[in-house]
Amino acid sequence: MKFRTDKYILIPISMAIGMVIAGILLSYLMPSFSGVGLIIAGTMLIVTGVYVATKPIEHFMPDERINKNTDKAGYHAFWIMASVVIILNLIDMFTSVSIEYKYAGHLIFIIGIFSLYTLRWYYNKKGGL
Amino acid sequence: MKLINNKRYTVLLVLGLLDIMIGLAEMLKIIPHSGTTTPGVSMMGAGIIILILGLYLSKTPESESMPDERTMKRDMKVQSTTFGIILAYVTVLLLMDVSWSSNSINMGDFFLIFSRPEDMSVLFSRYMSIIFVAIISVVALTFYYNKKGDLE
Repeated sequence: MKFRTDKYILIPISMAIGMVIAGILLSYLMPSFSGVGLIIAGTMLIVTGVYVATKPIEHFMPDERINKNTDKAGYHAFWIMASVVIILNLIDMFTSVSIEYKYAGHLIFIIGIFSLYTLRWYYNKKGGL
Repeated sequence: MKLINNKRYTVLLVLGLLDIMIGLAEMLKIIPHSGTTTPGVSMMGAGIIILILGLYLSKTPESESMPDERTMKRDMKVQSTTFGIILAYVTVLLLMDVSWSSNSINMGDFFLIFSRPEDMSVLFSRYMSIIFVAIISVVALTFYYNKKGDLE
């Protein structure tokens, strides 16, 4: 099995290794900070990087159709996320309910990511853009 | 004279009227807890601007107001890029909140120049700043892609 060693592989893998090291160090130095998230994310990135390194670069070049799909999905995901933020803002401003950002932020993030991937999957399946 | 030529933009008229009505209700304290954060004048101002925009756009013929293919491609590229920017911004804000738990951006002495800093903290809440970043990104990227051309 041949591994690619270009900058598109080495830079992300070194960043992932840095994340794991930072996670371990932060867990030791700052007891209040949980570095488990950094360690898990870094490990996942290393595994992904090793998988990507085994494939030729042409395998990951997006064609025009995929680019169009991603643009269309991102366009709709942007409006979905903007609507969620506007609704949360209106609730926060005009009602007695105070929505703290540290709880709502996760919701906005998850809705954004899931809408992007769901819409991309949908447009890939639908075709004929 | 026909008031509405183009039905596509009647939604703006409805939105503008709704905004003005909410602003009025806010000013007259019909909505519970109204007047605690915004005076309702801003809502009415926004409603009037949307109403004028809607009236202007609904008077233009359908053939003129329909975006061409290049504009649609540009808008999709701009807004999908803005989506990435907003996602990154939301993540940065979340990390900030994990580190410093507060609901408004700490801009230090910036608020001291206003006589009522507690009102300004509403304008600079997390949600408002996300909307602000989105608007600025859309405007800047539209300008950039218009200037750049060759959308592929």
